[in-house]
Amino acid sequence: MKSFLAVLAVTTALSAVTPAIAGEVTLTTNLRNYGGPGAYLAYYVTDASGKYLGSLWMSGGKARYYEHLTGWYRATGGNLGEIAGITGASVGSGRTLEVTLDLADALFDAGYELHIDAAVEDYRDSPNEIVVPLTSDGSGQPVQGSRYIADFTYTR
Amino acid sequence: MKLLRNLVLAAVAVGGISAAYAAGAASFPHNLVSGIDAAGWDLSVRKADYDDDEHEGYRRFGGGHERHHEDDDDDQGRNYGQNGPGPAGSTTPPDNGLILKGTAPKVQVN
Repeated sequence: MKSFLAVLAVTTALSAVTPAIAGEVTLTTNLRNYGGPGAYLAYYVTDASGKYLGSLWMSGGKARYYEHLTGWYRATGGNLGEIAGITGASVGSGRTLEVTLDLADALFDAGYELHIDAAVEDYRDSPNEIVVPLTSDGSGQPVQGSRYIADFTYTR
Repeated sequence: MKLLRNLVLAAVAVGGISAAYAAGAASFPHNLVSGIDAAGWDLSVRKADYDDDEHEGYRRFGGGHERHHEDDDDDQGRNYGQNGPGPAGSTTPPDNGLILKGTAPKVQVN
């Protein structure tokens, strides 16, 4: 019992001084009432120079349409391994998508940008509809979309 | 005279039979139709297709032509499996250094 308490004390002390390396981040996307079928949305991160780092989310399950998410497709070559386990259904006109992920703290205030490409069947593609720097100050601040996305917000 | 009368009678008979088929009062012998069916012929009526779209079977997606499959819906578009990625929850997210390893996304659509 004594040793258990000692271990508990040490681990508690360590957790108090070790900074968190990741935290929950919610990505909230409100779509406009554009009146068409569900939108495909690709969420991915680049560094300040535009170099692709990785994907955070993909809305839309039909891989043959991914080439219309042109920014994401160009960066990944359509590699489905980039979005395995982080893919869901497309998002209907006028609906709101909320995705919560445990993201590395190092992503924030380090010059990284979150991109959202959008595409809708029978409508024009909309690459980089949202491009927003990931910063602590930007948390909770809505960013306006240009075509299918009314606004987007990330909150930590 | 007798020849002329026979010709008139024959013409009337042929006309009557034709009119009966046209009105649906008579039909082809069932055995004949069954035999044709059994031989693999298709007697069903097909409507002419006057659609001049040479890309029949294709739909536009974002300005380009895409193969249109009968299962296309406005999806709320799941088509994981053969050619789609693993959906959230079916496998762990990629180890890309952005998402904490071993955690799964929580998703909600309102």
